Amino acid sequence: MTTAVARAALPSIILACAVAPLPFVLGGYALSLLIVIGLHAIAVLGLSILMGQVGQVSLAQGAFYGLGAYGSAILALHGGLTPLVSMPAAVALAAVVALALGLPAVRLGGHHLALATLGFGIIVFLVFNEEGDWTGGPSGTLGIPPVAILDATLATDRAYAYLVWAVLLTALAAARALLASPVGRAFRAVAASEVAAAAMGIDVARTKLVAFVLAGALGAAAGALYAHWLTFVSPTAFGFETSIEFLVMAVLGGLGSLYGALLGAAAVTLLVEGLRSVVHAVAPGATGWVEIVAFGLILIVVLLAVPEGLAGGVARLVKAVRRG
Amino acid sequence: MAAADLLQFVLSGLSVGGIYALVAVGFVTIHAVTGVINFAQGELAMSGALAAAVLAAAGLPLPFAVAAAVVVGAAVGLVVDRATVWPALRRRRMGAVADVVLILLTIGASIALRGLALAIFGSEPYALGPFTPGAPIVLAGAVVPRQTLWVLGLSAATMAALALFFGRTQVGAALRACAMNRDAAKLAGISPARMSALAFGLAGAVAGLAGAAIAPISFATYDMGLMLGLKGFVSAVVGGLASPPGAVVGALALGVLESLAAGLVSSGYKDAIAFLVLIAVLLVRPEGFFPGGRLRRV
Amino acid sequence: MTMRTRREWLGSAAAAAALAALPRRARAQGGPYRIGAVLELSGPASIWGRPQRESIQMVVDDVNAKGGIGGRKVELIVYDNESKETNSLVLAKRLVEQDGVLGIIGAGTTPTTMPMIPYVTQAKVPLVSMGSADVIITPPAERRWIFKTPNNTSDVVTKMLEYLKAKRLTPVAFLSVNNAYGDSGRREFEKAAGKAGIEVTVWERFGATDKDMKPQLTRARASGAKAIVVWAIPPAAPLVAKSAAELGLPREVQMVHDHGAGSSPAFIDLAGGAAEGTVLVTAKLPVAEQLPDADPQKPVLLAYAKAYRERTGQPPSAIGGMAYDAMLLYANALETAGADREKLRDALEATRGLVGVTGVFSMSPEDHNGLTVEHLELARVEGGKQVRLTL
Repeated sequence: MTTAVARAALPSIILACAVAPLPFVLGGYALSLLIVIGLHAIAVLGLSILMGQVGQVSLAQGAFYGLGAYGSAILALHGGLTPLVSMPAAVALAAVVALALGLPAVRLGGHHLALATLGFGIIVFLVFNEEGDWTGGPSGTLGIPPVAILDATLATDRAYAYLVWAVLLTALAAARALLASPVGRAFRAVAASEVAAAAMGIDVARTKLVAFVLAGALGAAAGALYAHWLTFVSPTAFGFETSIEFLVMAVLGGLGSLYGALLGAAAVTLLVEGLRSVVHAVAPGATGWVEIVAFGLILIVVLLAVPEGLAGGVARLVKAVRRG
Repeated sequence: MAAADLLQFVLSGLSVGGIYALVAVGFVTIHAVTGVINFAQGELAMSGALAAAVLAAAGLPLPFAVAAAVVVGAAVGLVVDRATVWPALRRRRMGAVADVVLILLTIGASIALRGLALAIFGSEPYALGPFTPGAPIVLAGAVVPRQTLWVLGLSAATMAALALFFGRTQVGAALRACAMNRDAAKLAGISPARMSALAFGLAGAVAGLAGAAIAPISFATYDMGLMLGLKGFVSAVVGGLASPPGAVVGALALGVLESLAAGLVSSGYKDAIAFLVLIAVLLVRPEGFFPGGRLRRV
Repeated sequence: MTMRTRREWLGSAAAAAALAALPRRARAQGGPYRIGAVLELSGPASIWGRPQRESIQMVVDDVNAKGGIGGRKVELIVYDNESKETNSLVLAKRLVEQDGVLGIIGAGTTPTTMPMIPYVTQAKVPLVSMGSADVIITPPAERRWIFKTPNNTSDVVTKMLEYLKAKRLTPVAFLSVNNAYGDSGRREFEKAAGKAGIEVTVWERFGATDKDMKPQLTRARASGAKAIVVWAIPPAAPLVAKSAAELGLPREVQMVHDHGAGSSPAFIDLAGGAAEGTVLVTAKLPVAEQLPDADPQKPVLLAYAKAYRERTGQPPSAIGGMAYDAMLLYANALETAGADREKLRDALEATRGLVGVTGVFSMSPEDHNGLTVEHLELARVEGGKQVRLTL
C-alpha cells in the first residue's frame, strides 16, 4: 500500500522540488502567472479525468469554478467563516451540486451530455447574475477576505503560490493513486465500452457519477482559491467562455493525462502572455486582434501536429530521442 | 395578461427562433456528412453578415450584398474545412484523432476568424437595411417585423432545399452515404475529401445567408458568432442533430421558450428557464425531437 | 528516474525558464514618463476599448509634439485585458514591475477595474479608471490611489430624474442590460427614484446579445408606465429602440435612455428612425455645437471632436472622451509631480478646474471623480441628431 502511495506521490514530490524555489526567484508579475497556471491546472485536472479517463464530455467546468469561488466568498462574507473553513465547505457544496447534476446527466450520452452540461453552466451563471442579495449580481462581490492561517494572512503572492501549488500537487498525487486503483480501471472500462463494462459487473452510472463529482470538486477547489486571491468575483469570469478555455487547456495538454492538465494550463497561459510580449515588441499598435488570431492559428497547428495533446507529444519525443 | 400580449411573446419567440434555425441548419448539415460539430458555424454567419453590411454601406445594392454574403460564407466554410477539419478527418479513421479534438479544431478556427473580423471590421456594430422596407405587420394586436418573415421564410426554404438535395439528388445521396460509412463511400468512388468540402461549403453558404438576414434585425458585430453558434448548437442537438427539420423545430422551440419565459416569468432568468425545459425534454426523450438513423457506439 | 518524472523535470524547468525570461524594462533615469493602460481591446467591452486607446494616444501625441513635459516625453504602454478580470490584475502587475510605469489608466469597465484596486493600493501606484460605478472610488479612505473620469452613475440618475419630475412622467418602467453597467444604473435609480417622487412599475432585464426585447417592452407597456427608462449601451440600446418602435411604443410613452446611448453616435446610427423622440442623458460632447459659447468646455469639445474625426475617420464618442480625460489628468499632474508615484497621486488629487471632455475636473481627497451633475446634458433625438434640451 505504501509503495503504491509513494509511486503515486513521487512525481508530485519531484515537481514540488522543482517549483519550490520559484516564488522566491520570480517577480510579482511572473508570480501571478504561476498562481494563475496553478489555479487553472487544478480545474483542468478534474476536466481532463472526466473527459479523458471516463469519456464524458463536460462544458460546465467554468460553472464549478464559479460555484467554488462564490460559495467560499458567500460563506466567508455572509457566514463569517474563515477562508480555511469556507473553501473546503464550498468544495463540499459544489460536490453535492455535481452529484445532483450527475444523477440525471449520466443517463445522457455524447452530444446530449454536452448540451446538459452547457445548460447547467448557463443556469449557474444566471443564478450568479440574478441573485444579487447573495452574489452582488452583475457588479460582483468585493472585499473577499484573504486566506489566514491562525493569525498570519496569506496576503502575499509568494505565500499564495505555495498554497495553490500545494493543493495542485496533492491533487495530482491523489489523482494518480486513484487512477491506478480499481476505480481508475473502472473509469477506463466505462470509457472504452459501457456495455462491456456493465457486462463485467461495473456499475456504470455510479462510476460516471464519481468522475462527475471529482471534476466538480476540483473545479470548485480552484475557484475557491481564485476568489480569495483576486478578492473580487463577478459572474462574467464563470461563463461559457471559461468552460471553453478549460476545454482548450485540457485537450491541448492531452485528455486523460494528469500532467497534461498542468502542461495545457501552463502552455495556454504562457502562450497568451508570450504573444502579448511579441506583439508588443513588433507591432504595438496592433494589440487586441493579432494575439487572438495567432492564438487560434497556433491552437489549430498544434492540434493537427499533436492530436493526442502536448503530454502525448512529449512522450513521443522522448521515445524518439531514446531510440535515436 | 392580454391575449395580444401572449401572442406577441410567441411571435417574438418565433422571430428569434428563426434566427437560431438558420444557424442550426448549417450545424446539422456538417454533422450529417462529416460527424463534426462545427463550433465555427456562428462565425460563418458573422462573415456573411459583416460582408453584406460593409458592401451595402459602400453602395452595393442589397440583393448583390446578400449574394456576396452567401459567397463569403461558403468561401470561409471551405477554408475552415481545408485548413482545420479535413487534415484531422483524414487521420480519424486511423483512430489518431478523437472527436473532441475535431471540436477543438473548429473552436480554434472560430477564435482565429473572430480575431480577423476584429482586425478588419473593428469592434463596432454595423447596420444593414431590411430586405423589404416597411412597417411591421400587425397580427391580432401583435407585431411582426417584415425582416422576421424573411428569416422564417428563408429557414423554411433552406430546410426544404436541403431536404430535396439530400433526398433527391445524386450528390446529396452520396453525402449521406459518406456519413453512413466512409469506406463504402470510397469504394463507390465518392471522395470523402470532396464530400467534406461540399458539406462545409454548403453549410457556409447557408450561414452566410443567415448572417445577411439576421443583420437587419440585430446588427452585425465581430463577436455575434458566439451567441449564434451556441444557440444554433443547442437547437441542433435538441432537434436530434440528424435532420434540418429537427434543427428548425428545435430552434423555434428554444426561441419561443425564451420569449415566453421573459414575458411571463422573469426576464433575467429567461435563458435558464428555456434550458431547463429543453434538458427536461432530453431526459424524457433522449433522441430529441426528430431522431435520425444514428448508429449508437457500443 | 522514470520517463514520466524526467518529463516533469523538463516541463517545470522549461516553465521556470520561460517565466524568468519574461522581458523586464529598467526604469531609466531622466527617460520618458511611462504611463500604462489596461483596456478592453477585444471581448464584449471592446466597443469602448478602441476609441479609448485612440483618445489616450491623442493626448500623448499632442504632449510629445509640444516637446513633452519639462523636456521629457511621455511613453504609453497599452495592454489588452480581453474584457477579463484576471487579466486586468496580471497586466497591472506587468505594467508596474516589468514596464516600470508611473501610473495606470484603466480599465474601461467596473468589473475589470476592481481586481486592480487592492494591488495598486498596496504597490502605491495611481490608477485612473473609465469604469462607471461609484464603488470604484468609494469609500474614499480606502481608495486613495484610485480615480475615475466618467460621471458618477448617481449624477446621471439625478439628471434623468430631473427630467422625469419636470415632465411629471410617473410611473415609469425600468429596463436595463443585465451586466455590471446596467446593474449599477438600476441600483442608483432604485435608491433615488422614490425620493424624487417617481414610481417604478416594472424592473425588466435583457441580455447584451439578445435579439428581441419586445417581451420586456410588452410587459412595460402593460404596466401602465408613462415613460420607459432604458439603461444600456450599443448594440443593445438601439435594439431596444427598434423593438419599441416596432411595437409603436414611442407614440404612447416617452422613451428615456441613459448616457450609454447618449455618449455614442452608434445609438442613433443603428436605431435609425426608431430613436426619434427619445430623450437621452448625455455628456456635453454630442451637443457641443449647441452649447452656449460661454461654456468653458466648448472649445475643448470641438477641438477633440475635430481631432478624433481626423485621426480615425470615425465620429467622436464621449466614451473615448473619458479616456482622453484620464490621460489629460496625468499630463496635467506630471507637470508638478515629475517621476514620483506618490507626488503624482497627490497632484492628481489636487487637480482643480481642468477642462476636459467629460467635464471640468476638480478633485479632492473625498472626491476622486471631480465632476458634478452640471457636466451632464439632456437631449432629444430629432432628425437623426441629438438636440439639446433645457428644462
